Amino acid sequence: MIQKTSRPPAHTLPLFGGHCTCGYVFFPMQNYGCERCGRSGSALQPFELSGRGELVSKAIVYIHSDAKRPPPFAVAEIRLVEGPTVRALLAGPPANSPGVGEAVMACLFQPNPSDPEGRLDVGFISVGEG
Amino acid sequence: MAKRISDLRPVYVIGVGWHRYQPLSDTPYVELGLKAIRGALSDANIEWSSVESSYIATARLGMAAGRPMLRHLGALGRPLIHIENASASGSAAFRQACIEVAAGISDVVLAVGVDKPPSAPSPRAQTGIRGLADDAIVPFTRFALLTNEYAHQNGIAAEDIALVAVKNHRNGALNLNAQRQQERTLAEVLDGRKVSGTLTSLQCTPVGEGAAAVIVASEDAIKQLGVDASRVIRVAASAAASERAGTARADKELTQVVVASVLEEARLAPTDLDIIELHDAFTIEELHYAEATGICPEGQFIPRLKEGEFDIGGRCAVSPSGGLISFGHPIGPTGVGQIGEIAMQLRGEAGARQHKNAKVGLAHMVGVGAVCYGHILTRP
Repeated sequence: MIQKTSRPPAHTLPLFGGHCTCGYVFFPMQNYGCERCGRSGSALQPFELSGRGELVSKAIVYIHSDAKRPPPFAVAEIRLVEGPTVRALLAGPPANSPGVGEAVMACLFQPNPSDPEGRLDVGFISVGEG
Repeated sequence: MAKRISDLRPVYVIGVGWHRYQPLSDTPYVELGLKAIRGALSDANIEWSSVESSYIATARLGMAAGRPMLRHLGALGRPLIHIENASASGSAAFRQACIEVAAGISDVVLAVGVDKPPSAPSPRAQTGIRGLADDAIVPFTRFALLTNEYAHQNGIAAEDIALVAVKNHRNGALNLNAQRQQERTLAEVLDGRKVSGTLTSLQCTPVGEGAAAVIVASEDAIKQLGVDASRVIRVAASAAASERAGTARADKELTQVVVASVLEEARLAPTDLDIIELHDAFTIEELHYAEATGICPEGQFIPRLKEGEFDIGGRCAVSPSGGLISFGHPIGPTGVGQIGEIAMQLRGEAGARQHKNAKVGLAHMVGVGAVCYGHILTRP
């Protein structure tokens, strides 16, 4: 069967968050102190998040001052299954992005096709696209 | 046991003044600030020598901007301090000025906001904690995301959310201190430059400079200085808060908490509000915060806006000054300017923008942090 695109299948990217002994789960990992209870030091430990969540909202950005990230590009707010809410890029063409309420997952993608170094960034796609 | 300002001496707004909010110009900030302060002194009919202490709100002028400005009113040696709390800098300065009078430390205090935008965007200090797309998501995108979520949850069309801008531009067109003084049709608002999501440029606050000043005083000072007691406005309540851990919609929760607190302090209900000035940097914010004050149920702001309920002359005038969208948001001045607008409304001196029989006004402000301030002003 001939592939319609040459894009390789995406794999779910785990995200490295943190966990406090009080039960609070957060992203990204930080060692400054727990926002819920204030404990620091060994009370805060790295915690691997699955990278899966639900899309809460999305928007296409039309104006951006950084030439390394030319608009338009799509961003979203995602509630991860473990609890934290993150704001992140959507991978893939803005017009074709997952809808509000859909299950999404993190992956690596190249946000700027004209980047000569081909740098990758974290983005989210529909779970069905994996 | 913690006190509120209403537990202490009564505080009154006795004078208000502005320098028009406008795009970045060559006007030095000293000139912007002096115009606003002199306006407030003249409005209060007092001399600079009666002002005992000054709070200067600025987010962008850098260190020690106040005295180079205040010295030209007369370098009398009185204390001054600078206040920064992002968008809420002016509101914070006003609250501190009220606290100083309420506590009896001073009888007459100035709160002045003055700011000029930098020619290049100024970065915030790095915390060392990085999210997934911090550089890609600036404030207007946060609110584009909120617009998408609200529209989806409440079944409200993005075009209807833009009606907030039509109202606020119409109000701002009547405000000689507003940065944008032009009525706009819905088509003009929707067809403007796309910014992020469904937000177009006329639905977003402009970048600009300006100044606003408010003078607060005790009853003793009003009597001793011969201030016209029929024009003073009471600061009935004041509250402030910051974001709590784990809140998905921090700005909304903050607004609910702060507004409930000032309504309770002033012994009023949301239905008692005649005027609301809030942080409408983006159209979505007006509905978001207005609903959080309790003046209408969630999802109902737009249907009621369409019926004129929030126009000048409606049940409760929201953003009669034109709000951040039309009046503008030079940052330091913004929260102070809200107080000035409400004071003029309650005095019956708002001219073409007058909301009839206004007796109670709410000033709401949020700032990056997030922080939130609420003040209730009443006609004595």
